[in-house]
Amino acid sequence: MSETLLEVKDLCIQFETQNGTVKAVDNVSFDIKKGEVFALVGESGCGKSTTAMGIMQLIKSPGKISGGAVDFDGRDLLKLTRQEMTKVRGSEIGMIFQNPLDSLNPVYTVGNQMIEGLLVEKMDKEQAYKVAFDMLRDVKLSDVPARMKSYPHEISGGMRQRVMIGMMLCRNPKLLIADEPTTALDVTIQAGIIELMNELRKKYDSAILIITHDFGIVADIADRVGVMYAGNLIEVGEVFEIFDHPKHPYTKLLMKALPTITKEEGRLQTIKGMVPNLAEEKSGCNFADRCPYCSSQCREKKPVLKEIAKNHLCACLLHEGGEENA
Amino acid sequence: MNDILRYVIKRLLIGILVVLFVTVLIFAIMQAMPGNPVDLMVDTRVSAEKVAEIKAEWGLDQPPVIQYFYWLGNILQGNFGMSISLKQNVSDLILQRLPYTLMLTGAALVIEYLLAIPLGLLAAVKKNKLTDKALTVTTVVLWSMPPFWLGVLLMLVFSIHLNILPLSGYSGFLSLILPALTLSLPALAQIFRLTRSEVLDVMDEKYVTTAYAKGIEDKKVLIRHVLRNALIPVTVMFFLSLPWLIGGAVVVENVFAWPGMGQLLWKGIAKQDFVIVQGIVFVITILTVICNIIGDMISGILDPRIRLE
Amino acid sequence: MRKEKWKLMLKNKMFVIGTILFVAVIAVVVLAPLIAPHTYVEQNMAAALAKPSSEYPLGTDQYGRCIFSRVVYGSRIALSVGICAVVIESLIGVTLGIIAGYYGKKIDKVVLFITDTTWSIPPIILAMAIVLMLGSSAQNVAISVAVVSWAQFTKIIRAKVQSLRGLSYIEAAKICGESDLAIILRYILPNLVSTIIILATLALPSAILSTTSMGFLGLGAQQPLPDWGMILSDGIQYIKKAPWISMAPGIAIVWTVLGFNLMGEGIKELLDPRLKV
Repeated sequence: MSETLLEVKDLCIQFETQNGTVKAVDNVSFDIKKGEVFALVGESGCGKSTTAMGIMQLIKSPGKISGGAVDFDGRDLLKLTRQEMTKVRGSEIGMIFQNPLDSLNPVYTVGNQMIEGLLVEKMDKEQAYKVAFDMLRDVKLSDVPARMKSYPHEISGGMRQRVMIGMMLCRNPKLLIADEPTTALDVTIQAGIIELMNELRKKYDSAILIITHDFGIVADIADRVGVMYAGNLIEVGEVFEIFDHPKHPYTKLLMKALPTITKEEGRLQTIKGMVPNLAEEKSGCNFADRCPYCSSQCREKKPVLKEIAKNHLCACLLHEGGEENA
Repeated sequence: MNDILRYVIKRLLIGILVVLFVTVLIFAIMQAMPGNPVDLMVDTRVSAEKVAEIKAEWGLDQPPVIQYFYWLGNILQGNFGMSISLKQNVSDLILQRLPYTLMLTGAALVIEYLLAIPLGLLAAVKKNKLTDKALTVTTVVLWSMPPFWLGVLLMLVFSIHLNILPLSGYSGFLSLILPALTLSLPALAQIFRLTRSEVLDVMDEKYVTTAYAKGIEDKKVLIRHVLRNALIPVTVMFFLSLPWLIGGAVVVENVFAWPGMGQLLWKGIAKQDFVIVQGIVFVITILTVICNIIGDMISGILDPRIRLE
Repeated sequence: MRKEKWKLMLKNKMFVIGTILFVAVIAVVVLAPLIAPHTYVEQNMAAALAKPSSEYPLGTDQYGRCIFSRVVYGSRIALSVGICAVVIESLIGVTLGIIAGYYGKKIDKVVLFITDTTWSIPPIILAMAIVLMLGSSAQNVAISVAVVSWAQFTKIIRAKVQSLRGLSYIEAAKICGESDLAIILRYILPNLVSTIIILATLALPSAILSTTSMGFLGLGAQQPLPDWGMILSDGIQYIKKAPWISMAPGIAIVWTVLGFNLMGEGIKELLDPRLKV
């Protein structure tokens, strides 16, 4: 097994709101190996993007990291000073975002923004231009010289996301965080972006943390998956293990809710109930109210993530004892 | 390039239309004014023939529509006519006064923006902290100050009690300080608020997060990404706020007996000298329209998204 | 939900201070005859330019009139002129804004051109010209200030109506054959209420500033009526001997305008925090 690159330990992120403290990320732990693609999945608001922003330490007020550790390449990022963290960003960890139009500054050209990051490395301008130029070719943009001079609003959404990927990979980071990289794009363009990421991860040997709610993308690119629900990481395992043998009731229901061509039933299955209000302090499992297997114990004791099979972790009291009754 | 040229021409045409519209408006107002200007121009001893002669000279015996074109034709040649009350060429009067008004508004604009932008940025960076709250309260108070009273206060403190600055009139650079402060401080509040809210809006933009994610230092992000975008509307406002500032100058010039156009305008209105009033309003409108066009162009230069429209 | 919001408002110190200032102004307006020790015309040449004393709490002017009483009575003029101006300007502004936003196309372009043009003339200068045409009086000041300041209403209401027009229930009402007037009155206007309230509360302080500026230039209510701006400008001649003459109306203006500004900000925060005014 290869070396661990990133280890998130008991990460807690909370937001102070008028209605109380919201635990957006609650004791989340997982790790990513060098060169691996790890996917964090879950519905909107489950804390997956917040986790990613926490790793980058780009949480905006009123949110703050309230506990845990983020060990990256031998040091705890949470213990770094602001300046030290600034040096890590971009050079060791890159990040791309959901909407590629909002993510590029409208007043600077593509080339200008590509080069800006490279100049941090004390590169001279000509060299930076060349690196940026080659990178744009690597992300398969056509007519690169013209693209360097284009403004973000002059190019298409897919092209912008390619620019973002290039911008974040051109300093060859060890980890690329991709926060819903294809959600804002047309389905036809999504496939191209995923293919590109797959190709480039091999070429640049970067690990990828991909945040998505789309299991199709997970299947296409990820090695391992972590499923999040209401601020908790509830199940982690290798991608096909999770697809074929989901253990957590939520993951199971999620898999049933996926549309497939072979499915007999005419209607898609849904998960009944609502995501709990995270501002309320409560004991027990966050999924208890919606869980078909919920027992009285589930409302009292909070399940923790435990290895239930080789490389398969699950946070559910049903699997605590090792016996399976679901 | 062609796009930019078309944009400029379109803006210029609209500007000309606005100027024409304003001249009609002002002319209509002056026509509706009570009082016969000729009676004010001459005293009662003058013969009826003389009165008729003056009327003919000013086109006053013509119907209003003809009078308008008579006047428009003249002002387009830079001839605003003779002042009725001061018996002087209005263009000369305006030319004498204009530099003082420009000096006053220019100084006020500089003070306003030099203070408001850094303070707005500071308040945004320290959002909801003590600095922000103190600045916000101070600017709301300034915003609520009538400029004429602020002027009186400054006069009392600096001219009467401390006796370090001239009380009124123009006698060199020192006399500029109080009027310029009086004009700029209330206006400053608006720019402060605009800067603060724009900076806060831009800070929430994804591309700022991208810049941080790229590993750009805080200070550089703030200047290159946040300020660069936040200052687009602020810069446009610089040009658009001119009419308000000139309007404020009319009041401030009267507080400090500043020898600018505002005082001349006030004299003109007091004496129902419509030649002066028309001339000054025309000059001010031209200035405003030019500033609007410059503002539009600057926003086109600063924001590449606008150029295409 | 409503209750919680009001609780939040009470936590907003600026709003609370603004409301206190506002209530005090209203109290002065209503109770002026009880508060003022003299009438605003009562002269006492023997006590001309007298310093503040127990008889004249804020001193007297050149005719020996009580400044305090004049400022107290002046609140009635300042407020009524300001409110009249705001009512007129909101009527003009909202009507034009709705017409431009609802009908769009050419009508919109014409209205937009007129608003832009109005913005091209310094408002106070245009207002001065209008007062000159109509004659100096409190009513005419209200009218002139309204005529130069409606554009703000039009711009914001127009944008709001444009966004409302596209909503499906308004489209549906159109398809059902409702008349334009019915749609505007029944569906559009109710949605504009909070915006109009915010705009009007924030327009009042600036209307008071403009109208007192006109008074300062001698274009407002005429002697012996106690116009705050006029009292202040008369006081400038005596600034060395009797600075209290100019101080009192100035403080009154700042008090009133500040109160309304703070309260307006609070109301905006409550009803529509995102509205850019």
